[in-house]
Amino acid sequence: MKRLTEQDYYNLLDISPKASFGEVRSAYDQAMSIYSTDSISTYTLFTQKERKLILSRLAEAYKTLTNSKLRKEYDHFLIERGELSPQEIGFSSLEDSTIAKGKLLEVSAESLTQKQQEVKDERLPSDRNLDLFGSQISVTGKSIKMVRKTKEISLEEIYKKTNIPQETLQSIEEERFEKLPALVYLKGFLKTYAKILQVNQTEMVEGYVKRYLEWKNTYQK
Amino acid sequence: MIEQGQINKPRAVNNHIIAIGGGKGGTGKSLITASIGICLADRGNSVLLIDADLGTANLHTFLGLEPPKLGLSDFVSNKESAISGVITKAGINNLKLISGAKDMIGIANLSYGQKAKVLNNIKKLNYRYILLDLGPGTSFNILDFFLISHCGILITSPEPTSIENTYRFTKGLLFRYLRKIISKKVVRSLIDNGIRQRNGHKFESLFDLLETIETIEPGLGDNISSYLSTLDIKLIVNQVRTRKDRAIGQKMAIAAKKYFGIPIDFLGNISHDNILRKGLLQQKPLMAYLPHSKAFKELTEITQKISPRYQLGLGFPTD
Repeated sequence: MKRLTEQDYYNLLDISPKASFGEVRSAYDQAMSIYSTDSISTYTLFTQKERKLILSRLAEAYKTLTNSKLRKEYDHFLIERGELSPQEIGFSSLEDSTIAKGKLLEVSAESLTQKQQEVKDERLPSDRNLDLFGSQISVTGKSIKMVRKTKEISLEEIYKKTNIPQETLQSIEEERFEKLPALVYLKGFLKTYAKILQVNQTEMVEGYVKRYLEWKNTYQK
Repeated sequence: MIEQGQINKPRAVNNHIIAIGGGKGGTGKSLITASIGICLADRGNSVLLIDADLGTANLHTFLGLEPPKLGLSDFVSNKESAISGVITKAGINNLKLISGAKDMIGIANLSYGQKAKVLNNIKKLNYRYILLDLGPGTSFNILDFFLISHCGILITSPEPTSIENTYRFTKGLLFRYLRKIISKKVVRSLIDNGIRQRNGHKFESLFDLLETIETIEPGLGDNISSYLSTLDIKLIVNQVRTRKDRAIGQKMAIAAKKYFGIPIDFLGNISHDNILRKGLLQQKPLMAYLPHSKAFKELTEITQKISPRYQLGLGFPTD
C-alpha cells in the first residue's frame, strides 16, 4: 500500500499506461471531483496539507501525461525504476500515428500560412504548461481548435465547465472577430479557455489578442 | 473419513452477522436495518434484528410493535440467563427481534465483561442473518460490535456533517482493529497514543502510523495492510435527492480505497422518500408502506448485494 502522493501518475489517476489524452483528461476530471477542496465526498478525510499535496500531485500527473514529450520521459523513468515494462506502454504508437506533437505541428505549421515569428520573443515564459503553442506555431483560432481536438475536448464540455457560451468559443476558433465580446471579456475568456486546454495562458491570450487587434485596427477604424 | 477436529468442535454456526453503523445520528440506520431485515426474511431467510442502539432504540417502532417487555439489557443484567430468552417475534414470518427499547444505559457504557458476554453470545446464535443496529457514535464499544461482524455497513446521508462522521468512524474502526490484532506492546501503545493525541495530529493518517510501525518492526506495516484489505465494509448513501448526491457514494469508496487501502464496497443510494416519512408519522408498520415507496426498489437491490461472499477469517478476539 502506497501513500496516494507516492503512487505513480498512472495509478494515481487509475488509468492504464496506454491511456489516450482524452482518457487522461477524464480521469483527471474524475479525480478532481473527488479530491478538490470543495468536494463533499472527501470532506474532512484529508488534512489541508495532505489535500494540497494530492492536488499538486494530480496537476503534475495531468501536465506530464498530456504532454507527449514529458510523458515519454516519465515512462522512461518508470521503466528504469522497474515499475513499468516497455510492453505496457502503448502510448508511443498512438502518438506516432495520430497525435505526434512534431508531426501535428509540422502539418499545422504548413497549413497555417502565417508564421508569426513574433510569438517567439523573450517575453514568453519558458516553463510552458504544454508546448503545443511552441515556437514554430502561431496562436490562431485554427491552432486553438486543433489543440482542443487533440485533447478530445468538446465545446459543450468547456461551456459546462466555464459557462462561456458555445457560440463565443466557436467565434474564437473561427476568428469571427466581429462577433467577439469586448476585449476585456475576450481576454478573460481566452485565459479560462487556455486553462482548460492546459496551455500557457499568457501565450495564448497575448497571441490571440494580437490577431484580434490587427483585425480591429484594419477594419474598424 | 471424519477428521479429529470435526468431532470435537461444536457444529459451526452458519450465521452472517451484519452491523449497521456510521457515526452520525438521523441518517436512517434503523429504517435501513428494519427494511433489509424485512427484505431478507421475505426471501425465506431466518433473520434476527438486534437493536443495539441502546438508550435510543426504536427498531420496534419501525416494525409497528409495542415496546417488547424483554430486551437486550435483561440479558446484560443477568435477569435473563440465555440470550434466546430476550428474542421476541417481529410480526413477520422468519423475522425476530431483540429489542433495546427498555434499555436506559447506552451501549457505549457497557462494561468490558458485559460487552464480551453479549458479543460472544451473538456469535453463537443460529440465524442465517443477524443484523445489528448500532446507533450513532464512535465509542470503542460500538466499534467492537462492528468488528465482530462479518460485514459492516456504513450509512451516510449526503451532508458534510454525516460524511465527516463516516470518515471519523472508519478511522476509529481501523485504529481499533489494529489495536486488537497487533499484540506487540510498543505498537499498541503507539496506537493508543495516536488515538489520544488525535487533536495533536500525532498520526494524521493511517500511513503515518504504518510508517512509524514499519520503523519499529520492519515488515509489520505491510502485514497490516494485507489485514486491512480483508475487512468487508460497505457503504449506503441514504436520503439522496439530486444527481450530485448520487455521485457521492462511489467517490467516497474510491477515496477510501486509495487513501486507507480498504476496499469499501459502495452498495447504492436510497432516495429521500416522503412515503417513508409519512408512514412513520402515522405509526404504521414499515411493511405496510415500504413496498409502495421509491426507496423499496433500491433497498431490494441493495439487499441482493449483501451476500456472505466471505467471512472474516481473522477471528476477531472478544476477550
